Amino acid sequence: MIGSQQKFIRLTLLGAVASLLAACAQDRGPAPILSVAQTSCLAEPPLTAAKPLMLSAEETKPLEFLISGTSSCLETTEGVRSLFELVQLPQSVAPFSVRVAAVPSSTGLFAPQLTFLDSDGLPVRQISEEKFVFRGPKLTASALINGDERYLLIASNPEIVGDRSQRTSSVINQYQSGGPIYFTVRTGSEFTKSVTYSHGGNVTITARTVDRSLDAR
Amino acid sequence: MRRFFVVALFVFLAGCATYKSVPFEQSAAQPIKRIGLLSPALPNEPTAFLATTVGQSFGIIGAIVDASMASSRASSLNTILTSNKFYIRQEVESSLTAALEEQGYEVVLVNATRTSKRDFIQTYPTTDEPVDAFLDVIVPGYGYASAGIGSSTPWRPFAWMKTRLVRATDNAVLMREDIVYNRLTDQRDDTVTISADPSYQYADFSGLEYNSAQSAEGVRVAITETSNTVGKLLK
Repeated sequence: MIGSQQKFIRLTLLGAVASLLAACAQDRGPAPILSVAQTSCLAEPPLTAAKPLMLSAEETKPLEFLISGTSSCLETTEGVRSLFELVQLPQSVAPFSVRVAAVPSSTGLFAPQLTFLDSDGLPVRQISEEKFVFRGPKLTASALINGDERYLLIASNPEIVGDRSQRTSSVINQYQSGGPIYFTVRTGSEFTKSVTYSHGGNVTITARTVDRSLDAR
Repeated sequence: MRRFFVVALFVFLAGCATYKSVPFEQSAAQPIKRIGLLSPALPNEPTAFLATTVGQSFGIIGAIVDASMASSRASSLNTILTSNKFYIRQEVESSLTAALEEQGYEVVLVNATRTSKRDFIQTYPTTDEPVDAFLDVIVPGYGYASAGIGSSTPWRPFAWMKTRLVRATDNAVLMREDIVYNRLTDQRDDTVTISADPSYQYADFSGLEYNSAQSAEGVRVAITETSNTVGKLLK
């Protein structure tokens, strides 16, 4: 009995330490980038530098990258600057969608603006800011791809860089005893995370075929 | 008690169930202008869900005590909502209609016969007024939820909608999204999640009961914000 109690206490402590370590180990990532410091920026993205995106039926091959302070930058004729990456979309006869997700670090979240380009690099469609929604901690936008869209320009949105977003999440912890007496203790807690929209940050992109049948999950 | 466990499990798992999201894109060839909003699938009553309780550590006896307390809270919440003229069908239909009209759609309410409160309709009805698409909505749960006991885990309103837009002419799924307002766990990334408005939170359930009108307004806000997000996703 005493042994099982000790084992339970040990497990509980281990669980608590593991939770703390997990919290510490969360991706700290880069600090928010609030201005673009490069000495010179491009007027348009070079198509040859586009990162290829693979198409999957199950969203198993995400393309992941970090937009950092040393990433390439774009500058409009009005002098507005943003950091960017260019993605080459897969070619497919079947309809497919892409989802772009900005993954928060401990203090920052990439402020995305998405523009689809044709094969000549000319903009054909922009995803409106309203289409961005949170899925868990990630800020995401999804879109079906039209036939003439060949590239996706993922650039920072200077209009919202510096704004803050605050989200509250709950955590349910479960600790189980070992030994002859088995019992479970569950505790609930919550934390509030505040992040600043940034010119840089972690981004993941997935492309997946779209199933329009009523039987799809 | 069985109903409590089913509802509790659904609420706890809100957003955990995986589904394949289908983003909506307005088609130039077959534009969607008029949407038939089907009678939504709704739960029988609101939920007052406490994710972690002392009773959970005490097996079946604890579960029975928990079920009794949860049933009492749900009943109290139901009284709060009805006494403040909150009727879930009316709230869901009116907020979704407003959200869709805000995006420029014409909305027609369509009576639908459902065989299940958990599944989308498989055969869509014919309508007197022609519609371009049907919006099929399931509300698995709504009410208040708390992650645990204590003032650090307050009670907040929650709402969960599963939505599917289906083209009337060929039953093609044009949009499929799940949206949860105040999801208790924030780890899975498929469900669209909305943070709860901190104006409507209570350190304990008695505070929620005491501020009856504001508590009911909190659930109304949860339903409205969830509906507005459906509208955004159909922009």
